Amino acid sequence: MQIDRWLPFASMLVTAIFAAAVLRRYVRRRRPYLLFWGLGLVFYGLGAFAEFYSTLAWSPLVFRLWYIGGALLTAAWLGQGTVFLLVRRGRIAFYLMVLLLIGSALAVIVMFNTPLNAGAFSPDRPLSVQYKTDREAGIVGILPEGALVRKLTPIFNLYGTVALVGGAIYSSWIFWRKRILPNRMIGNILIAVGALSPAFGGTLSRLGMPEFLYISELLGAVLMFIGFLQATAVPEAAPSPRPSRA
Amino acid sequence: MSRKGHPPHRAPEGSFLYDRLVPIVLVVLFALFLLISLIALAIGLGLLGI
Repeated sequence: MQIDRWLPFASMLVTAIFAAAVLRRYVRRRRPYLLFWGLGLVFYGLGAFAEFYSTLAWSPLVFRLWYIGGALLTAAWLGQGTVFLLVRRGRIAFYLMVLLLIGSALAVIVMFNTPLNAGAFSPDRPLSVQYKTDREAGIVGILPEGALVRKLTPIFNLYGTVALVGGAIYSSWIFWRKRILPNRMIGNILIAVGALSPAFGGTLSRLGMPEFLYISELLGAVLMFIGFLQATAVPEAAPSPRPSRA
Repeated sequence: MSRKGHPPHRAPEGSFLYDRLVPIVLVVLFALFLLISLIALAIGLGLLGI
């Protein structure tokens, strides 16, 4: 279906521009959280690219990149960025990053050692509809039933969602409580809503409703980008207390 | 403090944004956040059988 081709294409474009903006800011400011957000967005874009490519042709490499980028690592590394932004005590953020790095490397190894059933692939259906096998329901998918990599997904996504969404809600709550910086408060709310969107899309997909995944990814990318622009915008200068010369 | 050294401007009392809209949005967001985290936890623990 055409829409299943163009939704991931649009997500890919938005995340590419978003990642470029975040990484450009990292180059200027050298803050680690920007680097990890940028990395998370690269995974996001990689997942969207794989979804788009898979509407054209089959590639085991692209399928693996889709699962690694889209399902496993995006939320976790975006969340890691937020951990670096908010957790300043000791070296907690650094140790969590090391754990995530080891976990990610193991997950990539597991994914590349998982056999794929190319016969279950069709370019006419989104990957989210055809990746899983459920023999009880008579569904034969690309990944084998009980694949270890599917058991790893919730761990990464739980960490990412708690850190990214929880961090954005916490930040907006701080600005709301202090009644300051409305642009950052609204920006963080948009980031939280945007991050929740693919989290719900992924969960619904897991619960047997995969048709919402692609639209939730596009919506999430757009909202997070607007939230990021809003949160990083320089607020308008307050009126000068000096009397006018007129 | 802002970058120019002035304290950030505080929203006035009775502000629609700070006193009405954002509190509701934050409560709804937090509820959705708890829901999605609990579902992910349940999936991770194998409680949903998927």
